[in-house]
Formats: sequence, structure tokens, C-alpha cells
Amino acid sequence: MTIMSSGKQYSIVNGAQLPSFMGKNVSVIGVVAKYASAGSLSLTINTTDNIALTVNLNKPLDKDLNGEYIEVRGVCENAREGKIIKAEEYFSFNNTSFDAKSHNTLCKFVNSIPNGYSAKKN
Amino acid sequence: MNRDCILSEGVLEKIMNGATIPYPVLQVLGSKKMVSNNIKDSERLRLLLSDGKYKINVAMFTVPANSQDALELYSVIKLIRYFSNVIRSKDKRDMRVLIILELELIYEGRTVGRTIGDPTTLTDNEFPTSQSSDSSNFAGSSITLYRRKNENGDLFGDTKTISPIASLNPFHNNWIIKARVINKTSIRHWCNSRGEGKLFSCDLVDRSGEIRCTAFKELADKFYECLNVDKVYYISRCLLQPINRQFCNLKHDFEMTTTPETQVEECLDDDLLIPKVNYNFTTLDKVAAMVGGTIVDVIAVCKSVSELQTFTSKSTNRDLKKKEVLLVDQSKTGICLTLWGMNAESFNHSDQPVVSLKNAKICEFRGNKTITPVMGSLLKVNPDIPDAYKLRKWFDLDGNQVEFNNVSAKTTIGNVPWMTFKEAQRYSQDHGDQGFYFQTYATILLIRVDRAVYKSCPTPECQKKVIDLENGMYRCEKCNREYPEFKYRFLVSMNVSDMSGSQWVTLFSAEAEKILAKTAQEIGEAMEHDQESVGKLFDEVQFKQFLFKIRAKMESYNDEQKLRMIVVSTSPITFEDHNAYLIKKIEELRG
Repeated sequence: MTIMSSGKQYSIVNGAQLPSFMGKNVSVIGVVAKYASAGSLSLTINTTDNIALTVNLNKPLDKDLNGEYIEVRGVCENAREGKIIKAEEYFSFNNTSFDAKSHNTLCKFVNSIPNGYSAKKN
Repeated sequence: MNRDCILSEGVLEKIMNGATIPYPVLQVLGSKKMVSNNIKDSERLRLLLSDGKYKINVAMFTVPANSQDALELYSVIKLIRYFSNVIRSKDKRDMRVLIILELELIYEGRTVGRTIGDPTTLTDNEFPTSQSSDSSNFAGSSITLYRRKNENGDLFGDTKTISPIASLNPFHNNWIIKARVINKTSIRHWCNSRGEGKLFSCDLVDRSGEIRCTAFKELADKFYECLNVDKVYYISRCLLQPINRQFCNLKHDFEMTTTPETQVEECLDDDLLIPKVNYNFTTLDKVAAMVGGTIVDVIAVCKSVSELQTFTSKSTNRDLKKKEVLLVDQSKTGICLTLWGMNAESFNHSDQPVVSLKNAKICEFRGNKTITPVMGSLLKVNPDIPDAYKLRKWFDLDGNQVEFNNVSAKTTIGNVPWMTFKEAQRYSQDHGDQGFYFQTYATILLIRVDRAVYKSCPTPECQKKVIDLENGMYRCEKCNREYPEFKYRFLVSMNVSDMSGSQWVTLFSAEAEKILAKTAQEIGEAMEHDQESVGKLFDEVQFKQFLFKIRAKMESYNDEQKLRMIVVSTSPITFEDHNAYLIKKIEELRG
């Protein structure tokens, strides 16, 4: 399943699924692992299945982030140091609790169960 | 055809002597309506009957309401059910009357057209008042003479002449029956517009049949302890009335009510000819498989008894007492016996007795089955029957160690099934009559503002709507009192929707206050002064989502069946639970 946002389609994935989505637009939700100060261009998040990702941003952060859940949308790239997402936009959830486990399951379902509702043009 | 042979000639003389003749054929030579104050919709006729040889004028017949006036002059009839009674008239002369319960018209009066034969009137001296034969199993039975009372007024002198139950009727006053009590209800109280009181009933049986006996008000107290199940008693001087089929379904045309003159004496020699209660036991494993509502007889051992639980019923707001007894039997099944009210209070057997229950009803409540005694049930502890001994032996030896499959194991309210409104509506088509619970996430679409609150009785437990007497006083019908004030309570009707569709549901005060975040009192007062702010408040609640637990039941309003849903509890949505539920569902669907 994909999210339509600003005209682009993103697939919702978790860390383990990233290798199959190389070069594609993805949306990943994870918790900010290391303190990222406002103004920095990259941060590290831990996805819901505990895989560390580096996120490279287009624009610098406008406020500090630490320990929050954010959703990152962008293109997935692979580098020798680890997986990177070149983010186009991100969104910070301000809530305290996040059902990470269910989100993980969601990612699995979304990418494994065929979507009967999509209007596919054969 | 020779008409003269039709009638049962000479039979009247025999009948009036006390004999029992089956299906006599007689001719009606006259009839007179009698004024009756008891029996509505039917008339009593006094008939002049002839058998071709004799005629009597002391026959009575109650014409059933839906039959035509079948007794024209000269009709020839066959008596299907009848009996004769001796009536003591004021001048100490005994008179025998013939009571006809059921007859069949053989020839219409106009077809016959004349008196058959040349009957002579049987005079009173022809009716001997000596003792005659005992009743047979045929309905036409004869009543023997009632002996005078002893000097001290003791009714049951040395010889007791017993009447069969089948012969009891309102025209007969001096009878004694010897019967066994096979069923006794507890003392019930009633309160309606015509008054209040208490009563209890018991069913009496002897070889000829069965009859119900009811005692009202003070007499209920007087006789409740006297009449015990399974014992045989001599009973006399009760009032006989036609049976009210609404309350009693026994095979007798009449039922008895005790009077201040009623006498009950225990019969010490248990006459084994009088039938005992007949059991037809079902083992508990089969009971578990039966549908709710079925009536069964069971016998089992009480493995455990719960404490007496008192709680207030939400629907009727009455205090209810309940006890749960776990019954087990050789089928290795356990089932819960639910006792209410007096039954619950009086059941104090902690020694794991054998319990037999006749005519218990299987109740299915929220998915689990229990059995409970109902109006015609009979609960006995350690009954004197061979099945009881077998159970006792089994339990004492190894039954108490065995693991039981408890079909009444409680499911908590957390296991209320999830359904969408559409699913619930479909489910209700099969199960709506008894009501069922389900839960769903729904969004509030609309709340009806105009009838959201109502004026209710100010006493804490009573929630009944009060009637405004317009003079500053408010009357509560349930408490039967008037109050100068009232309290506002919620009765909110709102339209909620989930992904399958929308549904109007009802909320009572407790839940409505949670949703609106205001008490009923505040809203009620605001409605009096400031309607607009109320409207705004209700608008704020629109489109909020909650988790609703709902009770759905089919109810009929003015002959129309309608599915009514009442919100039992509301809670804000917890996404974790909802996620877990959805994940489970997806996995189920994936297979």
C-alpha cells in the first residue's frame, strides 16, 4: 500500500524491508536514537524493528529532536556504513506512546497481503 | 329407526343412587338459565333430563362460551363427563344433583320434536344418601356422604370419607380430599393498581387427578408451613373456582383457594397409592448441549456453593439475591445452578448434598449456560430416590476427585464479541429475542437534544420518570409518593456510525455523562434557561469516537418489532487494543 502525498507514492516499510525497496520512495517510522540538535542535517533513527538508519535531510532541523517518533519519507539508498534515507520530508509525532509493535506488523501486512482495492490498470 | 331405544332407559335411577354409568344418552325436556356471578362468558343451565323412564330436574350444565345454544327442548344428548353430588340443603335433607361437564349433541331438538317415552319424576326419596361405591378412574364419580363433625368440631373424625380430586367443583361444599403436595411455590408478593398482597400455590395430586391450591394474604402465612412437598394431607373446605389458565395449566376444570375455614391435616400413613413425583433426569453433558429455554429434570451433587450475592438489577432497579451452586454428575460435566431470592437465601448446604431439580429451565446468558428453577420447578435436597443414592456413592468414592468440564465458566465482559453495526443487525435476526452484547468503535454523528433529559424521582435508587402535577409537586408511580422536587436524568438518543453503517442507540445517565462531560442536572437547568449553550455543547461532541459496548435486543412497540440498542459502557479509544484486534482479524482472514 502506498501513501499519496504531494503527488508521490511512498511505501510503508520497516527496517528489514528496506533492502527490497532500494531506490524507491519509502516512509519509515522510527524513534530518534541520538540527540539531534536544531540545525543539523542528519539524524539517526531506530525503526520499529530496531534497525538503525541514518536520515539525511534536505533542510536543517528547525528544532531539537530526541527520543521522539518521527516519520521520514524519502528515497532509500545504501551505503557501506549503513542504510541511509535521503529524506524529503519528515514529520514528528508528538505523542508519548507509540504502538511500535503494531506498526511493525502493519508493515509486514501491507507489503505481503495483496491489495484487493487498488485500481490497477492491467 | 326406532326412536324409543336411543335413550339410556332407567339409567337416571342408577345414577341418582350413586352409580357410575358411562356415556348415558338422555333427552332434554326443559332448561332454565341460572344467574351466575362467578363464571363470566358462560351461562349455567338447570336442565330437566329424561332417560325415557325417569326424569330429573336437578341437572346443571355450564355452557361453554363459544358453543351455540345447543340445548333446545327435546334435544337428545350424550353425557361425556359428569358426576353427581350430594348437597345438604338447609332442612337437613340431602339432595343429589347431577353436574354435567361435557356433553355431546346426538339429535337436535327440532328433529326429535317430542318427548321420548313417558318418564316419571324421580322424587327425593328415591335418592338414598347412603355410602356408595368408590370412584373409578372414569370421570363420572359419585361423592359419598360427608359425616357430621364431632362434638368438638373436629372435622376429621374416626372415619374419613374421601373425595377424589377429579370430582371437586364449586357446587360441592362438604368434601375431604387426601392428596400429596407435589409442588409448592415460594411466597410471592404482588403490588398493582388494585392493591397488594402475597400468595403461594401448591399442586395436589391423588389417583384421580391433580388440582392447584392457592392461599392468599394471611392464609398464605398460615398454610405455608403446613403444606410440604411430598407429604400427604387431608384437606377440606376450600373455595372452588374455574381455573384461570393464565396462571395454571393443570388438567382440572377448577382450582382451589383456601378460606378461613380450610382445614389441613397431615396424613401419617403415607398412602403409596397416591402418586409421587415423576422424574425424567437428563445428564449434565446433554443439558450443556441443549438450547436455552428448555425445561429439564436433573439430579447432581453440589460440589460448591457460592456466597450470597446481592446486587441491584440495572433494569428493574430492585435488589436481587443470587447464589450459584456448582452441580456435577457422572458425565464429568459441571453446570451452575442459579438460585434467586428466597431459594438463594434458604440454600445453605455446605455438605455437598445431592440435589434433584424438576422442571428447571436452561438459561443462556452471555454465552454460558446455567440452570435455574422457575415457577413450576421443584428443588429437593438429598431426595429419597435411588438415583440420589447412586450419585452419592459415586461422588464419595471418586467423583469428588474428577476434573469437570464446567460449561458455566464465566466469560468476563472483556470477551464481548466485536461486531460492526451491520453484523449486529444481521445477528439480531436470529438472536434478537433474548438480547446479546457486542462492542464496536463508533463515531457520534448526531445527538437528539430535545429529549435528552427527563425529570426523574429524586430518591437515590429510583429512576422512574415523575409526573408533573402542575402544582409544584411531582409524583413517582413506582415509589407511590409525591415529591416537591425532582432530579434530571439523561436518556439520550444518539446516532453513531462505524464503518458498516449507522445506528441509533440509547444512553442512560451514567454513560451520557461520560460523553457529554456534564451532569444531567447541569444540562437540564441549562435547557430551562439557555437552550443555545446546550446546542453548542452537543455539537462539540459530534464526531468524537468511542468504544461502545452495546446490548441489542428486539423489542415490540405496538405490534412492531424494533431492534433497540442500549449502550452499556463507553470508553475512549485505546489504539493499542484496537490495533491488536485488527491484527488478529487480519491474521484470521489471511488463514
